[in-house]
Amino acid sequence: MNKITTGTLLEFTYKDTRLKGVLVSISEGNLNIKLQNGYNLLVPEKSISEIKATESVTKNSITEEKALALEGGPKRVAFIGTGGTIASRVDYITGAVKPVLNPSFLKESVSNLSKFTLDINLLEAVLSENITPEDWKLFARTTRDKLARNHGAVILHGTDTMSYTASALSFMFESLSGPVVLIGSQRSSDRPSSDAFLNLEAGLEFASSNFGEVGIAMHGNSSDNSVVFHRGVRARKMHSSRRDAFWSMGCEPIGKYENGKVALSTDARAQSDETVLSEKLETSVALVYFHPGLNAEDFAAMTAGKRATVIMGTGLGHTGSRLYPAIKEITGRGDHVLMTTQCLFGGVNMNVYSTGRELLGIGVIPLSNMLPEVAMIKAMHVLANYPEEDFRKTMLTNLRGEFLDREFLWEVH
Amino acid sequence: MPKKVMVGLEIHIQLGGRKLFCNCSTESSSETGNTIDRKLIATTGESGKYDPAAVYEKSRARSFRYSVTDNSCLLEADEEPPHGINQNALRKAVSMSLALNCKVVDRVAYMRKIVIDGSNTSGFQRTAIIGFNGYVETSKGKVGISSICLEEDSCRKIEELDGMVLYSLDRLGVPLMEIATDPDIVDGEHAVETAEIIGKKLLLAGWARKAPDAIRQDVNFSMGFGRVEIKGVPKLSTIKSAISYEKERQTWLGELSPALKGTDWGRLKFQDVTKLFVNTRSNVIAQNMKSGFKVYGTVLPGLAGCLKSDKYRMGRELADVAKLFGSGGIMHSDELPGYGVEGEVPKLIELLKPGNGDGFTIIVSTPKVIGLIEDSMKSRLRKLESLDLPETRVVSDDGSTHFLRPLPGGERMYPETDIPSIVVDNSLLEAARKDMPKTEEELVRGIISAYGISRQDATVIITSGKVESLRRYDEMLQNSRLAARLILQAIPELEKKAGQSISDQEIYPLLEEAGRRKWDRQILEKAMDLHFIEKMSMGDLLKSSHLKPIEGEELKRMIMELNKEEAVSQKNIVPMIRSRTSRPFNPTEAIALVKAITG
Repeated sequence: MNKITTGTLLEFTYKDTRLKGVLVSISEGNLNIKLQNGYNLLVPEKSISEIKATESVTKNSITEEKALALEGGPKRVAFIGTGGTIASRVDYITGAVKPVLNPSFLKESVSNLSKFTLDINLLEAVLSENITPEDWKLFARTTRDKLARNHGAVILHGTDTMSYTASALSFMFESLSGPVVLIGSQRSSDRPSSDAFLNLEAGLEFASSNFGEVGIAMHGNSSDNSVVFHRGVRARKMHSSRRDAFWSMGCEPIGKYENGKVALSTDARAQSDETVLSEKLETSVALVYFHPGLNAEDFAAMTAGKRATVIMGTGLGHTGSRLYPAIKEITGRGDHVLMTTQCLFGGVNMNVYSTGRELLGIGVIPLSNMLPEVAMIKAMHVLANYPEEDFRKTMLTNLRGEFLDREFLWEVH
Repeated sequence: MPKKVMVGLEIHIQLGGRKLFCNCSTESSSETGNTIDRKLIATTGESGKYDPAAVYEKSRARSFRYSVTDNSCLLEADEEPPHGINQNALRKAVSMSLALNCKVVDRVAYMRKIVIDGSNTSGFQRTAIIGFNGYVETSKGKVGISSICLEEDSCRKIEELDGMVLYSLDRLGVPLMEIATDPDIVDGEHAVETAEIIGKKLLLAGWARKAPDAIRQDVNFSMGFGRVEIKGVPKLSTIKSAISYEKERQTWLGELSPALKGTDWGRLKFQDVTKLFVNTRSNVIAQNMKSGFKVYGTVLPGLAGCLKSDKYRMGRELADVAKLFGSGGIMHSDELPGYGVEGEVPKLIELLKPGNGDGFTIIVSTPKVIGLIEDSMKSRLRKLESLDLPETRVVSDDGSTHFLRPLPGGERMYPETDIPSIVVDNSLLEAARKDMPKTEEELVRGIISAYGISRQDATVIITSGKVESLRRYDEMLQNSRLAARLILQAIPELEKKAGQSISDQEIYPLLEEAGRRKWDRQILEKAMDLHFIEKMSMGDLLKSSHLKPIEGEELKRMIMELNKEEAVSQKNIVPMIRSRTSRPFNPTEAIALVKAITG
C-alpha cells in the first residue's frame, strides 16, 4: 500500500463494491479517496482489497506564487503577509491550512485591485497565536522599509492577536508617512463567503488614504457592505467567529469604507513627512486578571521579576486586600503596578471606594480607560524608550489615542 | 442515433426536529428579524479548477439578502463553525441506508459542495455519503441505489429583485436525506413506481418534516447526449411528464443538430432597436419601455423555421437564457408579426437584414446585461449544435423543462475541514437497525396493539403519515380512540369548515388543556370549533360557558322543559337538546334521563 502515492487513480473493492477514485492522503490507517462524483471516502486500509493503481493524475496541490509586485494603477501600497486566515487556503492533499498568495486569484476576487500597484513582501507565515514581541519588531521594520517606497501599507494578519500587533505597532511608530492597515478575515479565502475579499478591498483604500495611523480594517457588521477602521490602541476582538468581531472600545471607529468610498473621522491623525520607528521593547511585563480565587502566592509568582505589572481589576479598579502586601513588595522594589478594568468598557477611578484609595496609597498607577492589553504593550514600549523617572508621567500621557478624553452615552452592543 | 433512455432519481427528504449542525428547530414562526446582505465569490475546488456552474453564477454578479428567522443562529448566518452533527438525523440516514440494502461507510466524511447562487450563506452545502450500493425491488427489476447522503438543506428563496435575491434562513441547515438511484429506470411509469416505493418507506418511517415541500425529487435523464438533471419535481405525476418532455426535446435536437453544424453564431449580435418601438402597439413592450428598459434585436443565423414549428422549439431554448437575466423572454421571427408587434416587423427586417434561412428576435432588456445575454445565447447555441446537452434544468408545473445552469462537476467538492470525520461504530449501527422503517403490516399490527384501534383506522393513519400525531395526541389526551377519531374525522372536518389546514403545532395547546381538564369528545370538539372557526382565543375559550357541560340536575330540568313542548323519547332527545343549546352534554346521560322520566 505504501508504494501507492497520493494523486494516483485507484480501482478497489470496498464492501463488495468496485469503486474508482484518486488517493488524496493516507493517515492513521485510513485512505482518503476522492471518488469521481467529487465525494471523499475515508476507507480503513484493511477493509479494501483488489487494489489496482491505474494512472497517476496530475497533482493539483495549491502552488504558491511568490510575486514580488503586482503592477496596476498609480496608487502604491505595500502588501505585507504575516499569515492568518486571510492569506491561507486549505491544502487538500495534506488537509493543512497553508499560506498562499495567488495573484491571479486576488485579481479576480478583489474588485478594486487594478487601481493599485502592490509592493509585496510575504514574511514567513505564522499563526497569530504564535506571534511574540520579536515578530512585532520584524513587522515594524518591514513596514518602515516599505513605507519609504509606498504611500501606505496593508498587513495581512491572523485575527486572534491582531489587536496586540496593532497596539505594538501604534506605539513603536512615533510618526508615520502613511496609514498602516492590518487586515484579517474570519472566514478563510477558500470559502465563497469569505470576508477576506471585502476587507482587502477596503484595506487597500484605507492604505491609500491620507492619514498616518496604525489600525485594523474589518467588517463593520455581518453584511458585506461596509468595513470600518479601528484605531490600533482602541481595537479589540470581541467575538470568536463573527465577521464584525473587532470593536472600537468605547468610541467610534475612525474610518469607514462603504460604496467604494473612504470616510475618515476628523480625529484621524495626520501623516508625517517621515516614518520614525522606536522598536525597542522591554518584555518583562505581566498582565494579571484578578478574580476571587486569586491568592497572594499565585499573584507573587506571576509578577516575580517583572518590571511592570498590569492588573485587570474589578469594577472601578480594585483587587482583594489580600494582594496588598505583594503589590507593596513590587512598588517597594521600584517596579510598577498599573490598574485597568476587566469591564473593558469604562475606566478605573480609584477615588470612589476605600479599596481604590488604599491601592493608590501603595503606589498603584490608575490608567483610566486604557485597555488592559494596550496598557501592557505601552508599558513594554515606555520602559524601553523613556527614562525610568518619566515612566509614570509617560504612562499617563495620551501618546497614540489610547485614552479616551470623553466617553459618550452610546448604545453598547 | 439516440440511445435508450436512462433515468435516475434523486429523492430529497427533510427530516424534522433539529437542524443538522446546530440546535435550531427545523420549524419556525413566520416572524422574521433583521436582514443581512452578502456577496459570494467563486473559489476553486480541491483541484485548483473552477466549477462550471460557479463560473456561470459569477457572470450573473448577483448579491444576496437573507432574512433572519427565529430558527436560525450564527451558523446559518455563516458567522460560526458547525456544531457537532445531529445524532438523530445521522441514525436515521444509517437506518434508511440499511432499509434500502446499502453498504454503510465506516467513516462519515463531510464535504463542502460549492454553490454560489446564494442559497447557502457559506457558499457551499455540507454533504456526506452515508450509504452506497443498495437497491430496491420494482416490477421491472432491481433499481440500484447509488448513494444515500445526509446534507444541509439550502435557504428558501423568497423573491428575486433587480440583481438581488432575497432568501429566508428558516430552511437552511434542515437535515436533508438524499437518496440517489442508479440510472436503471427505463421510463416514466417506472420512475413513478420507484419513487413511490422509496417514498412509502419514508412515509412509513414518519421522519419527514410535516411540510408541503418536505419531499422533493430531481430526475436525471439521458439518452446518449449526456446527463440532464431536472431539479425540483414536486409531484409524482410531474416526473412522467418531465421525462416525456425531455425525451421529445432531445429527440428533435438530435434531428436538428446536423443542419446547424458550421453556423457562424458570431453573427448573433444584439443592437438597440428601441427607436422602432416608440409608438408600438405591444402593451408588454410599451410598459417595459416606460420602466426604462430598451428593446434589442439580432439576427438568429440559420434558425428561420426552427424557432417554433411543429417539430422544433429553438425559441424556447433562447428564451430560457433571456429569462435567467431578468428578461421576460423573447419574440422571434417564427411568431412575428404577433403580440401587438406588427408594423415594426418590416423595419426590423430592414435594420437587422436577416439573410436566407436566418431568423431574428427581439428582447426587452438593459444595457447592463444585454452583452451577457448575447454571450450566453451564443454559447448555448454552440452546445446545442454539438449536442453537448448535460446541464441542470428546472421543471414547470406542466412538465416542461427549462435551462437553469451548467451541470456542476466534481470540481465543486472539497473537504469540510471544520467537521472531524465521524466513525460509524457498532452501537450506531445497532441503534439504526432498531430504528429501521418497518413494513406496513408490521406497523399496522404495532398500532393496533398499542392503541386498540381498528385495523382499518390503523392503516389509514399509517398511510397518511400520521403515526407521530397519533402518539402525541394519545399522550396528551390519554384516550387513544379519541386521538384516532381526531385524526380521521374531527380535524379533517374542521379543516374543511375552516377552509385551511390546521397543523399539529396549532392544535397541541387545545389537546393539552383537554387532557388536563379531562374533556370528553363533545367538549373537545366544541372547543376546537370555537377556537378555529369562531377564532376565540385560548384564554377566552377556557372561561367560556359554551364549554361547560350540561349535566345532572340542569340536564334533567332541560329535558322536563322540552317534554312540555313536545313529548321526548329516547330517539328524539339528542337532536332536541342540540337544537336548544350549543353547550356539550353526554347523549348517554340524556337518554338515561329520558328513560327515567318517561318511565
